[in-house]
Amino acid sequence: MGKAEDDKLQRYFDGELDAEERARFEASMTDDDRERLAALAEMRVLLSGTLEAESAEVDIWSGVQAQLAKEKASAPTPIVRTPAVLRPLRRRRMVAGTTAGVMFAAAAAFLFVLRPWHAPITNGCDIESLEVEGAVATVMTQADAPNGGDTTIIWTTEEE
Amino acid sequence: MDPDERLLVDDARRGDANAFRELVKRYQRRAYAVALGMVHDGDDARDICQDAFLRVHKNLVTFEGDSQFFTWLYRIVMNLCIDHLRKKRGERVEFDDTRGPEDSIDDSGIAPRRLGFDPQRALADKELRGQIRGALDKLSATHRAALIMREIDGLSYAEMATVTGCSVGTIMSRLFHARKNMQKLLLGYKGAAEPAA
Repeated sequence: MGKAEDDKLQRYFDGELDAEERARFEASMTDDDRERLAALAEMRVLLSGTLEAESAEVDIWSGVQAQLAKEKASAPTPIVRTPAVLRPLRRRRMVAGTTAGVMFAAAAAFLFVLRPWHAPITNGCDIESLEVEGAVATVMTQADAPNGGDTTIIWTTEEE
Repeated sequence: MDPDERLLVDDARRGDANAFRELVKRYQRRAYAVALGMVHDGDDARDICQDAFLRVHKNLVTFEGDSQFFTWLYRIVMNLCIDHLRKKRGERVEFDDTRGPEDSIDDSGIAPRRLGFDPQRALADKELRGQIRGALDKLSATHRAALIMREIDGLSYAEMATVTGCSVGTIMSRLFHARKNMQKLLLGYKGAAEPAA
C-alpha cells in the first residue's frame, strides 16, 4: 500500500474526508482496506476503553477546590488605592490637617509653659499707650480675677 | 463553542465559582485520561490535571473565547505533561518535531490484521489494560500525544494542529506512525490472536 492510499485510509477512518472523497473511497474499498479499518477500530476501542475505565472515578475538583481555598486564605489584604482624580484633594486635606495639628500643639505648648492663669502679669508700671515703628500698638488691661490683679496685654498690628 | 459551554466560561470568568466547578467536573475525566495516557502514572496525572485547572482559573480572563474551551485546556494539560516527562525522564519532547524516533524503522502501513482482543474483556482485565498502557508508554511522547488526542478525545486534525502548533500534515504523519507502532507492540503481547497460517 502506498503513502497516498495509507493517508486516504486514515483520513476515511478519522472522518476527515469530504462527502465526495468518502463516496469515492467506499466505492473502491478492497477487503484489505476493510481489514485495516477493522484493525484501527479495534485499537481505538482498546485504547479509549482502557484510559476511560481508569479515569471513570477520578475526582480532580476536590483538589482544585482545596487549593483555591488555600490560595484565597493566604492572599494579602487588598490595597485600596485612591483614584488619581481624588489624590490632590486628599493631599490638600492632609496638609491642612497637619498644619492645624502643629498650630494646636504650639498653642498648647505656649499655654503650658507660660501658664498665664497661674502667673499674673505684674509689670509694675501703668502703660497707657505704646508707639512701635511700623505698627499700631494697643494696650489692654484685663482683670485677673483668680489672682486678684490685672493683666496687661499689648497687641501690635503691622501697618499697611 | 456550544452556547452552554460559552455561558459557563463567561460566568466563570466573572468569578462565578459554581460555573467554574461545573467546567472542572465536565472535563476532569477527559483531562485525566489524556494525562494518564501521557505520563502513565495515576498520581502524576492527577497532579497535572489539578495544576492545569488552577492555571485555567488564573487565566480565564485572558481566554478569548474564539476557540474551544477544551482545546485550550487540552493544550495546557499537554504542555504540563511534556514538562513533566522532560523533568522525570529527561525525554526530549518537542511538539515541533516533525518525525518521532520510530518513524524510520519501516515504511509499511497498518497491518490488515486485528489483535483479537475481546473489547469487553479489555475493559475488565486489569492485566490487559496494563499491557495497553505499557505499549502506549513505549511510543515517543509526540506519537503518544497524537494517538490520545485522536482516539480518546476525538480531536479533528485541525484541532490537533492547533493544540500542538504543528501542520495538519505533521499530525497525520505522527498519527499514522503512532498507530502502526502501537499495533506492532500490541501484536507482540500474549493474548493477541495468532496470525492466520
